Amino acid sequence: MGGALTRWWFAPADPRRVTVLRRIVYLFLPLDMLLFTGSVLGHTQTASAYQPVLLARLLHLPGAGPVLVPALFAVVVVAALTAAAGRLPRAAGYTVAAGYLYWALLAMSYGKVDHDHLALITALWVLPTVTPGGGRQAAGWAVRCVQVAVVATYFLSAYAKIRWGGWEWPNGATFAWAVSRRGTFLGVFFAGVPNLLWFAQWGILLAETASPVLFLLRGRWLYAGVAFFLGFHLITWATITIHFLPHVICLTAFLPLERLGRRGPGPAAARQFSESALPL
Amino acid sequence: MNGSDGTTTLARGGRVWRLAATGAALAVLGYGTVAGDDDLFPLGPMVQYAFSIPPDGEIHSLFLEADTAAGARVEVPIEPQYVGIRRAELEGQLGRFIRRPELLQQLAEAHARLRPHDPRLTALHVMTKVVTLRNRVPDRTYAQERVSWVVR
Repeated sequence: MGGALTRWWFAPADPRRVTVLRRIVYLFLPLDMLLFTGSVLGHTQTASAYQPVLLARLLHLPGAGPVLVPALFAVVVVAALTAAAGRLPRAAGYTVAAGYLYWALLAMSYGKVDHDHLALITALWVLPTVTPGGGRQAAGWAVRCVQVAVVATYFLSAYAKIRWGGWEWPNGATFAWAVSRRGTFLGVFFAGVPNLLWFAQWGILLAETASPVLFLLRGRWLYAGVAFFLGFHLITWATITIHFLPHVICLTAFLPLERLGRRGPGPAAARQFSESALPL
Repeated sequence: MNGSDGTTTLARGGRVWRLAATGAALAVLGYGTVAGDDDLFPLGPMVQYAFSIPPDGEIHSLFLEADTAAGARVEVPIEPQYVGIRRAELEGQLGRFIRRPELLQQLAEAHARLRPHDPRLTALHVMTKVVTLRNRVPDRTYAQERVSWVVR
């Protein structure tokens, strides 16, 4: 039992997958801070709306201020670019993890918490644990943690729908609510198709519940599984402008990123790859 | 395959702390999912769109109207770059703003700083757009004023 658990969490992965994942995550971060958690910049204007979440209260973190926010932004971006370049993976990586967590807490402490950041925050905390030459098990654990965070985001949201919305959730009008509040041209068009949103609610609840299947899929089936969820996020973006990009970039942890940047993998490399026990 | 990638296996200590950290995070996430709420961010429940709207229910969304010094009544987007706060954030704190309308003063001040070339806002009206549904399809739409504030 313990052996199987350990084997699963530490299934060896190519450290180059972590190298590529690191680049994706750290280069994405400044974009996230400007576009997706950019409300922190506005929060410097509304100190009285600061309603810190538990972790921010426990750490006595001050709210967004006109000096703090630009300073925090600068520290996180500089550290992220350093880590993206492969320099100081540990020091720069943990600086990014702590600094960005503070940033995210500031984004979520003004009355609304978003749920698209679990995998990204997980990635930021596990990536610095993989040092150059740290080995395939260390890389495997980091990749596995990001994968688990991605699947947990889906699976636990299915649970939450039943916990908060009840078993009537899939038969309700939650998607009509979403389209009414923030629907795009396409969203309004889909809402006009009889019963489409109703069926979509069932489809999403079932897909989220089935998401742990991603751990069992291999090869083309795994690509198909990842493509399915990418398609889901693309549609929610096109219909109600909810893109979940911070989460979407972490979906790539399921893909053989280590193949990127390798010039024309010869037959030897391909054979080596198929023989390895990557947590694909 | 091991040579260029360094050692394959982690030392026992390296495995132990990683499993302990994983277990602790999953325990909080599990608690958050079953019994917790958004306060546990980033390990709270994944409640995006988790609420039910009955097929014949109502859709509520906030919007902000303002009287301007130019004498017009305009809609002001509830966005950080206009009033320093997102619509969903104002909705999440609506009860607090209704109990303490003076909190709206800061939104007007934020607007004056963020949009210095727009006409000054002299009064704010937080409105709810109500859409009633019939069999999951919008039926009737009307607006309600929830709280207002004369800017000082």
